[in-house]
Amino acid sequence: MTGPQRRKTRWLTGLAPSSFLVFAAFLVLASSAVALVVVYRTGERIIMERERAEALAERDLLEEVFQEQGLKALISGVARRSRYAAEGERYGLFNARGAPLAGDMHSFPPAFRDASWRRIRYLAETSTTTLHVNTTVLADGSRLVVGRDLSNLRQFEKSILYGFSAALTIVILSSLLAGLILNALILQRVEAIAATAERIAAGDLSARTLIADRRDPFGRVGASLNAMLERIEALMIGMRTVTDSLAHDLRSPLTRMKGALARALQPLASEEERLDAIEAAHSEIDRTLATLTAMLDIARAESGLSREMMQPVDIGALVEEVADFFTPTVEDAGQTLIVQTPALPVIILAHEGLLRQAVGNLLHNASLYAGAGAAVVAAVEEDQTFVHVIVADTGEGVPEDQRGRVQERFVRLDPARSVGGSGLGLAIAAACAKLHGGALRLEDNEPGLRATLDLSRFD
Amino acid sequence: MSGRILVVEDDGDTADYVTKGLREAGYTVEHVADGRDGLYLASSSAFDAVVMDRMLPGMDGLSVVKALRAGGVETPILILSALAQLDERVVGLKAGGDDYLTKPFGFSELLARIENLVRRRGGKSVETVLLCGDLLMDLLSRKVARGGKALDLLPREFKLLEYFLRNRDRVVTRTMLLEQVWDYRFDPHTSIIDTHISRLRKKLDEGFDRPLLHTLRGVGYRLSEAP
Repeated sequence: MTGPQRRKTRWLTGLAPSSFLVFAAFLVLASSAVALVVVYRTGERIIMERERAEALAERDLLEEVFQEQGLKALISGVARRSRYAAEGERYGLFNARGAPLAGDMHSFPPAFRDASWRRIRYLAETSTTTLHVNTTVLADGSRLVVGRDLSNLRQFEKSILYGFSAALTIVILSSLLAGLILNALILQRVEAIAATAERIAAGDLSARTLIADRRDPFGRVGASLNAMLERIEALMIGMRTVTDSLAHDLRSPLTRMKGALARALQPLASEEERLDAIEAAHSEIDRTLATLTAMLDIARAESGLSREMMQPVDIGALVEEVADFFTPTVEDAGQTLIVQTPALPVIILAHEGLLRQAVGNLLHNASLYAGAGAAVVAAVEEDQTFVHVIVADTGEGVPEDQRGRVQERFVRLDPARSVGGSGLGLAIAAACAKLHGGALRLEDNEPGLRATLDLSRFD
Repeated sequence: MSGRILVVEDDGDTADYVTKGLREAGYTVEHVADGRDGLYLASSSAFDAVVMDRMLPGMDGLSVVKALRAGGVETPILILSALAQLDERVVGLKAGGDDYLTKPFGFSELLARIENLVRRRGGKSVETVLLCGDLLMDLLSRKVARGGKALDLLPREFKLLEYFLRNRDRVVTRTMLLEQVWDYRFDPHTSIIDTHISRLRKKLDEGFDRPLLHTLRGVGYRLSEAP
C-alpha cells in the first residue's frame, strides 16, 4: 500500500462513529432540500402555465361576447364572472380613459397598458398584490383585463411545505427508532463478546462466546475471538507441559547426582568406586546443563533474536560436514549413511550454529531410532523459494498422528525406546526451521521417517 | 608450566577457585575485580594469557577485550561467561576473545584451555611434520605412520589426530574437540566424541605395546608417550 492511500484509510477509520451519524443527517437534509426545490419549481411552472391558458381562454371568450353582443353584454359578463370568481381569479373592464366599468379591479395603473401575461404589482385601495395579467384593447378602445393573483401558488407552496415537513418528521423519527433498535442489537452482541473477554481476564480460559451466524461481522469477530482463545489455551497448556517436563527433567538427573554422590561419600567405598560415582555425577551435570542451554537456544530462536547472527552459509557443505561428523555414530548403529548434496554451493542467509545443531539432531535421532540395517540419507535439495535439508531413514518411522507432537519440547514417544535424549532434539530443529522462515516437516519415507527442514531463501 | 596470567573476575568464589588452581598449576596469577583495572593492567604489563569475565563492574568484559584489541594488545584472552547460548559465544569471539568458556566449568577444562592458549602463542612456527614418540604425521603429504608402518586414516581422523599432535602431552577436553576440530557446540550427552576417539584409537594403538591416546576420567584425552 502506498503512503497517501494508507493515510486516507487511516483518516476514514479514525473517524468516530458519531461523525457518521452527523454525516447521515446532513445527507437526509440535503436530499430533502433538493427534492423540495425540484418539486416546487415544477409545480410552480405547471400552475403558472395552467393559469395562463385558462386566463387567455377566458379573455377569448369575453372578447367573443363583446364582438357578438356588444359592450353591455360584456360588462354584465365580466360582472358575473367576477362575482362567481374562483380563488385567485381577477377581472377588470375599463373604458378608454381608464375608468372601471366592471370587475373587481377598480383602477387602471400604467403597467396594465399593453400587458400580455406579465407579472406586475397592483396597487389596490388598501394593499398591494402581485398579479399576472393580460390586457386586451377592444374595438371601442375599452380595455379587458384578465388576471390571476398568486393565491393558488401560495396554496401550493403551503401544501408542499406541510407535506415535506411531515415526511421529514416521519423519516427522522423512524430512523431514530431504527438506530436505537440497531444500537441495542449491536450492543447486545458486543456485550456478549466483552463478557467473554472479561471472563478470560478473570482467569477462566475455557470461556467462549456464542456464535449465532458465522457470516455476519459479529459472528466473524466472535469466531476469530474463539479461535484466538483456542490458540491461547493450547499455548498455555503447552507452557504448562514445558514447565512440568522441565521440572521433571531437572529432578531426575539431580536425583541421580545425589545418589552418585551418596555412593562416593560411603566410608567403605574404594577409590575406584568413588571415582566412578563422581564421574557419573559429573556427566549428569553436563547433561542437565546441556538441556538448559538447549531450552535457551530454542527460546532465542523462537523469539527471533538469533536473526542478527545470520550470515551467508553454504548449506551443502554444512550438511556434508555434519554428516561426516556423525558417520561413526550412524555406522556404529549398524546403519549406512548416504550423503547427497548439489555439486554447486547452496548459499543462503543462515544461523550456522543452530543449523548444525538441527541437522545433527536429525541424524542423531535417525541413528537412535531407525534401527540396525537401515539406510540414512542426508540430502540437500533446492527450489525457487526454499532450500530443503532432508534426513530420511528406512526404519520404523513415526505414526502420522504423532508427528506433530514429537516436535514439542520434552516429548518422547515411547519411554521404552527413549535412549536418554533430552527430548529437545526435534524442538530445536523445528525452532531452527521457523527462524529460517520455514518449517520442519515429518513425513512417511515408506518405510521410515523423512524429516525435512525448509529454509527460506529470502529470509 | 609457568607463565603470568591475569584474572579479571568480580565474583569472589570463582576468582579464588581460578587463582588458586592456576597457582597450583605453576602460574603467577594477578587478580583484579574491576573491568577498568583489568584494562589498565592488561595494557600496561605483559601477560601470557588473560581470563576475562563477561559481566564486570566498571566496564564490561567484552568492551575491555575490544579496547585491548584496538590498542594492539595481542595477549590471548579466554572469556568466561554465564551466557551459554550459541550467539553469545560468537559475539565473544568476534569481540577479539581467543576462547570462550561458559560457567559453570570444571577447573581442568579451564586449565586445558589456558595451556592451549599460552602454547599456541609460543609456537607459531610453521611445522610440516608432527611427532609423538614413534608416531609421525607429515602435513604436506598427508601421511601418518607409526613405527614405520603407514596408518590409513580417513580425513576426519587425520584432522582429529593433527589436533592431538599439536597439543601433544596436554589435556584436551571433549568440548575443546567439539569446538576446535569440528567448530561445534553440541550436546555432550551424544557420545559422539567418544565414538570418534575409539575409532582413531583403534587405528593408532591396536597392535602396538604402548598406547599413545589416553583417556582421563571426567576430563578428556591426552596424546603422549608417557602413560
